[in-house]
Amino acid sequence: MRLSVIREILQKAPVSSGKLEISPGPNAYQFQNIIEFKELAGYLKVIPQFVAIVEALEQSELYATAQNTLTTNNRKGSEIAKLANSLYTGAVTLLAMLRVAIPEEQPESVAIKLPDTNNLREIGEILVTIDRTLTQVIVDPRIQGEVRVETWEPGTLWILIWLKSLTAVNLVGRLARSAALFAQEIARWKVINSHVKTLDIKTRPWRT
Amino acid sequence: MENLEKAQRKLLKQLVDSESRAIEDSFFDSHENERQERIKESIRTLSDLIFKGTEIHPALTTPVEAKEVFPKYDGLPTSTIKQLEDKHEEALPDKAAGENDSTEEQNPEESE
Repeated sequence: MRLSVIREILQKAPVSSGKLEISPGPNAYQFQNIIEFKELAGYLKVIPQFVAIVEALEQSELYATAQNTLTTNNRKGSEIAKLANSLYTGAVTLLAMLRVAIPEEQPESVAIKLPDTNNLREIGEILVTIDRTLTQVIVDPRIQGEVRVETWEPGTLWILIWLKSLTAVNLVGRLARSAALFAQEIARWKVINSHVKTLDIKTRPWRT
Repeated sequence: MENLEKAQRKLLKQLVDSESRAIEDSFFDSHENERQERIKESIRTLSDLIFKGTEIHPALTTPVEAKEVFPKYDGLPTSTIKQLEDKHEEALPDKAAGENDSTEEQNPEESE
């Protein structure tokens, strides 16, 4: 998942109102604001880094009640408190970090995910190919496009390319859509060809 | 098999022709062969990049109508594509058989 997408989810999530109120007592833990905390957890569940914590919370007593408060024994309570705190702190910290580290995207840009490979030459060749493929179509007086690197997402193979105009973004979207359709057709035909070849091999002994 | 490959090439060519022409008509006032060829080449190259795992997405701040034009990569048979690209060709007849069990069962009967 792109870091920008994670930041957008965190910005939309009700972080300020979604903190679980935890009151540890001598014999029991009391939790309040459960409903809003669950709403926050629902937002955070789609972020890969938080999936395990939210799933563990969903298995806990916190999700066995529809009430806004819960009192539970010390052992279960401390477990819930630990998970809830790490989820909340994680979300707040991650949002603060992403606000600083990731600049706002321009509407005239596209985000490109490069294939997962550690082959530097392959990555270089793909970038050159992308530049040529987009430039030859969008650098045109009617499209008014350009191809420039806007930013790289830190620690990922996502690159943001600035295309200068929304028409260019639209055109690249259409090209990508047609290319995806073409890729799908080729994949389908390859499967059909393999299947036909297999049938041919299977029936050959009967024919000879 | 040769006929199948010929038909396949023809269909894929038709697909690129119609897609490139539609794109050209949407963005340009007049038709130019050279421009359409560039669009065709871009479609083929991008499709090759998509096979390899490249994805092109709109920026988060792009207007919704422009966002909708982009493809959804979840629907693409990437795992199949990867298998094909990695040349695990042995695995494919099994997969194809799994998807077309009825065809697999019927054909030997027909040949008999």
